[in-house]
Amino acid sequence: MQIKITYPKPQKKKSHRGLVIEIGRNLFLLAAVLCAAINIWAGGKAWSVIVIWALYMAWSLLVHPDMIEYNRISQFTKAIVQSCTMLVLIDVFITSGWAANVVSIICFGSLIAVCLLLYTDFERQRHNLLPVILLSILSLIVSAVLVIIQKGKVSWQVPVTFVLSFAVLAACMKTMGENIRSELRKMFHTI
Amino acid sequence: MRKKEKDRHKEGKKKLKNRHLPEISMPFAEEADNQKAAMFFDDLGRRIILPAAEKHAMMQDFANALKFYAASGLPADEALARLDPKNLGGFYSRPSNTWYPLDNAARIYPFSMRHDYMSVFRLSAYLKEDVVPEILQMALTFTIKRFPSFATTVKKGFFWHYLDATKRRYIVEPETGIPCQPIRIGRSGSQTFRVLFYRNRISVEYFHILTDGTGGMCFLKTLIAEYFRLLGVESACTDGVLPVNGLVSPNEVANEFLSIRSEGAASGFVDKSAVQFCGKLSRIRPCRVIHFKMDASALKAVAAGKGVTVTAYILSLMFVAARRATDRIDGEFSIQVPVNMRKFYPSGTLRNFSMYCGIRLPLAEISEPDALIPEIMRQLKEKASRQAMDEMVRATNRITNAIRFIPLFLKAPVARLVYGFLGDRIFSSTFSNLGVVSMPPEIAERIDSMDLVLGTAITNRAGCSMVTYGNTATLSVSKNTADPSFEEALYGLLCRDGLTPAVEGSELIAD
Repeated sequence: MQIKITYPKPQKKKSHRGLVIEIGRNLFLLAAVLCAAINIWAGGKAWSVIVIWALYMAWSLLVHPDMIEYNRISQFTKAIVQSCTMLVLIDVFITSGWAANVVSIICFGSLIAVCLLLYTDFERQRHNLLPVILLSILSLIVSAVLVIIQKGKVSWQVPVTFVLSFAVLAACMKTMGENIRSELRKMFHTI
Repeated sequence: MRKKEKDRHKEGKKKLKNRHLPEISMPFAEEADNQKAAMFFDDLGRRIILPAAEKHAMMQDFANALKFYAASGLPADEALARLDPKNLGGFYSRPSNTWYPLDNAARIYPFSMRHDYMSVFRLSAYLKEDVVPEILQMALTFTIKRFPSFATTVKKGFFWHYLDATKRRYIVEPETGIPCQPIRIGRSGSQTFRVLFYRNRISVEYFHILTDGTGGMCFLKTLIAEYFRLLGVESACTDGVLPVNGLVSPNEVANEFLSIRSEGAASGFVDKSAVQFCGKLSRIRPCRVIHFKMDASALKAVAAGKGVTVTAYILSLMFVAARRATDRIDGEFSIQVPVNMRKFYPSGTLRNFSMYCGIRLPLAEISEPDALIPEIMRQLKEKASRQAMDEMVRATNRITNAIRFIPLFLKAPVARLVYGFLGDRIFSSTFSNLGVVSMPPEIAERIDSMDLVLGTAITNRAGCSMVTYGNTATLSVSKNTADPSFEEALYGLLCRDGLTPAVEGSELIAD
C-alpha cells in the first residue's frame, strides 16, 4: 500500500507536557502518601496536611494549570484562595491565633489587586468577572463571620475588608450595567 | 477655553483614527483608486471597535486582499465592492454580550479534556486550485458573524461551562503540524476552532463543544461559498450553504436535546469493555492520518450488491480488519457509530445534536465480512433506532438534571474521575459516516473532494470516518499506533471487492 503524503511535514516540536504531567502526578502522589505515612508514624502535629495542600497548590497552579479560563484574574484569585486556605490550615494544625488577621489583610490586598487587574485591561478582562465576584463574596462572608465570632475584638482590617468586598461587588454590578441580569444568568445558569 | 479643549479632543481623535491608516499602504497604482480605497478604509475603521492591535490587523487583512485583487488585475471598483465593509454587518461594531449554555452532548467535553487530549474533529475540502490565504482570511472575517455560536470562548460558570461570545479577529493559519491537535482555549477570547490551509486544502478543526459533523459541515460549506464569492464566483445559498449576511435564526443555536420528551425509559452509556487493537499507543496522537479515496458509485454498487447500506458494508470490513490488528482471540469488538438526531427530529441547529450506538461482535465470530453483515444490519436497525436514541437522550438529560445544582468545582473532579475510568474503553473504534455532501452547482465543480478526520481517542488505536463528495468517497483513518495492520487489512479488503482506493495521508510520526 503506497501512501501519497498530502500533509506538511510536522515541525520538530514535540510537546513533553503530557509526559511531565504523567511523571509529576506519580511523584506528587508518592510524596503526599509518604508525608502522610511519616506523619502518622512519627505522631505529633498534623504537618502532613500542610504539605499535602502545598503539593496540591503546586500541582494545580504550576504543573497542571487550568485549561479553561487561564487568565490573569482567575489564576490570581485561585492562588489567593488557595494561599488563604493554606494559612487557615497552618493556623488550625500548627500554631493558632493569627490566621484571621492575616487572611483578612490578604483578602483586603487581593481585592485591590484584582480590581487593578480588571480595570487596567478592561475590554478583555470584563469577560472574567465571575472570579472577582466569587472572591468578593468569599471575603464578605469571611469578614462577616470574623465580626460575628470575634464580637467586639475585631481589628481594623476585618471591617475594612467587609466594606471593600461590598464595594468591589457593587463595582462589578456597575460594570455589568444594563446586562446585569443576563450576566448573572450566564454565570449562575443551571440548564 | 471649552472650545480649545474640544478642538484638542477632535485632534486627538483624528490622530487616533489616522494612526491605523499610514501603516496600510494603498494597494492600487492609480491615485484615484487609492483615494477610493482611503474612503473605504475610513468606513471600515468606523465599523470595527476591537482593541487597536486587532483592529489594525483586520484592516491589514483587507489591504492584503485588495493587493491580491490589484495584482490579479481586478478593477478597483470591483475589488472594493467584493470587500464591501457592509459585509461585516454590526458584528465588529458592537460589544459582545451574548452567551450560550452548552448543549447536553457538549457538557462532557470540558471535563474530559486534558493537556494532551481534546475532542477535536476536522473537516476538509480539496479545491481544484491552490488556496489564496488573503481571500480565505476575508471569507472567514465575513462568515463568522453568521455563526455566532462559533464566535465564542469556553468559560466557567458557577454550575456549568458555557460559550461566551467573543468579538475578535478570527484568523486562518497555514497548516504546519499534526491534524486535530488540542486547541488552546484557556486565554481570554481564545478561538474554539481553527481554520487551516495547505496547498489546495481548506480545513476547519472544531472543538466538539461547538458543534457536530453536520454543523461543522455547514460552516465549512458557507466559508467555501464566501471564499468563492470573493474570487468572483457567485452561487445560490442552497445545499446547506447559509447566506453570510442573513439573519441568524434561533433554531440554529438551539439545544435540541431539551425538546425531546422526558417521559419514558432511559438507558445508555455503560457497557462492558471492548477489545482494543494491540499496537503500542503513540504518545503523539494521531500519529498518522490515512485517506482511502474511492469511486463512490462503485462503492455504492458493491454495498447494494450485498444488499446493505454503505455504513454497514464499511463496518463489516472494519470488524475483519480489526481482527487482524489484535492478538486477542476472545472478547468482543465494539465500534461506535454516531447517529444524527436530525433524521428523527428535523432541526436546523448548528450545535451538537447527535448520539451514538455501539455495534458489538464477538471476536470468535469474525472471519469474513459478508458473514457479519446480517448481524451488523440487525444491530444498526435496533441500536440506531429512534427509540434507542431517545432513551439515550433521556439518560443524558436526567444525569444533567440530577447534577445541575452542584457547583462546577465539585462536579469537575468527579466527572473527570468517572470519565477517566470509563473513557472510550467500551469501544474498540469509531465509524462516523457523514454521507453524501453537495455544494451549489457553481461551486461544486471547483472542489475535488472532502474528508472528515476524527480526533484522537484515549485508548482506541484507530478511528474511521467517511464523507462522499461528487463521485469520491473518502474513508479516513486516524491512527494512534504505528502498527499498520488495521489499515493494511482494510486496504486489502477494499481491493478484494474491486474498489482499489487511492491512498493519501500524513507521514507516520514516530515516538
